[in-house]
Amino acid sequence: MDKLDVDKQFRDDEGKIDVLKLYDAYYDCIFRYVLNRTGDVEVARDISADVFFKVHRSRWKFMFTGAPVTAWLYRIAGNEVITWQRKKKYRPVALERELQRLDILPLSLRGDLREEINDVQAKVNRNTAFHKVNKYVEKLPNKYQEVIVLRYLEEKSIKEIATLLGKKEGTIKSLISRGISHLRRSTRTEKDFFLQNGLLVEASPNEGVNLT
Amino acid sequence: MSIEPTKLELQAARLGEIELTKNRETLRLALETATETCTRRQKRKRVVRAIFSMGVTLGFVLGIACVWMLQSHPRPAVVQVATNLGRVWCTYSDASTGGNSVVWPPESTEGQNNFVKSAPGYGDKGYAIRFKGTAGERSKEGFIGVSTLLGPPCPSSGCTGVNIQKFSKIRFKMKGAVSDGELVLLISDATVSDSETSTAATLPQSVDAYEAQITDFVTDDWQTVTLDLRNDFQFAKSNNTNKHRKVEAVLAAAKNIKWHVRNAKGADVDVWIDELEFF
Repeated sequence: MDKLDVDKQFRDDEGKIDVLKLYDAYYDCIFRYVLNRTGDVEVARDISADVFFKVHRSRWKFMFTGAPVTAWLYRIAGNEVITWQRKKKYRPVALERELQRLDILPLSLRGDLREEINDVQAKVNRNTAFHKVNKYVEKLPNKYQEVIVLRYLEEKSIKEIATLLGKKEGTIKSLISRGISHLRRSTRTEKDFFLQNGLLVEASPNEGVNLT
Repeated sequence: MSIEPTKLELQAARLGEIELTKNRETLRLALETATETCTRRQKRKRVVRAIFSMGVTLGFVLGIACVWMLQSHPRPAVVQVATNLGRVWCTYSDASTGGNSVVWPPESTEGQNNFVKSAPGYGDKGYAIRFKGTAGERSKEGFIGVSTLLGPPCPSSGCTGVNIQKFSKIRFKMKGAVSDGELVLLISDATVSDSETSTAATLPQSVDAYEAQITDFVTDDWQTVTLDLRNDFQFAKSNNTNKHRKVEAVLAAAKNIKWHVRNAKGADVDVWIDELEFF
């Protein structure tokens, strides 16, 4: 297959990127990825919306060079997440605001959207293990965060991750290995802190991040 | 410390299948609207661009056509000169160089414009250019005359100027009387001031390059004088200081034309000119 045939299904009649097709194919992936990295459903929804609006605004300059289009999506999403993590006050372009701008948000629908977000957020909050892991993962450098989230929280294979991020499989393996090492170091440091301050009774020498 | 506990912990943290169905659909609607709006705007842009391109192309084609027409037909049919190009007319005489000639309308001596048109013009309509007076005998060659500037144009005052090289002939109506001496039509390519108020007094020494004898055309009734610019004019004999130049060069650089009465030795002169045109 010609490398320029990659993502052929996402091209419109003029050879430009078809945002709606891309959205249908990858919205859920991007939303879950951002949610796994932020733990906040509303932020994940808004960042996901922002990713696709950015793609929409930049579609005329996107060139199909053979690199997978998903690499572009995940890079935009990753950058948005980093901005959000660095400055929690930062809010991506809220979906509601964009809907109001486009004049397509009936008031009746607004309540439904909010309710859905609350329901999903409650579900996320119930998973305490996720929050514990998320606390450590978000301290990792971005390049490790993205591979660890995709590998362990989204259960993607090495090959899938390589395709999504447009990187070689060897690079992904290496990043995962280093990411795990970083994670172990950070959990150990925290564990030591808790032990030194009498906040944790050591039950087993090899407990890792199980701090409870 | 083994890596496995960390991995296990990570696996336990999986959120599973989580979907925002309503939000997802709403966002899709927003994207769809944005795309449609953008597509409409792009189409409008394309139409505007196409119209603009067509306009530019049409303008370019018309421009080329104009250039072609000008090159193919460098001599327009007729251009009226007399009094309607906005250039001043002025009289002159040898009085300014010590002679005793008298001319009317009065010469300009300090840059003012004293020239007046006379009525009636040819066919008893409008005005004509008239100069009259007495050619003096004091100076070696007593002379009087009337002159008008051909160029360069003065956009500030609306006068257009005329490049007579583009034409083959000059034609005008003339009547009057020259009792002695000779009347010549002079084409001068002297460098003159571009000022629209330039008069004989402010003109530098003219270089009268080519001349044509028109004395015989001065009669009591209006006569039509037609002269070929290239064949009926001769290099001015009186102009001893002037090196011979080709007629084309003089026509290209022509700045003014003069109706010039010379060697009149005290004769009375009265000349009317109207409907001057190059063609």
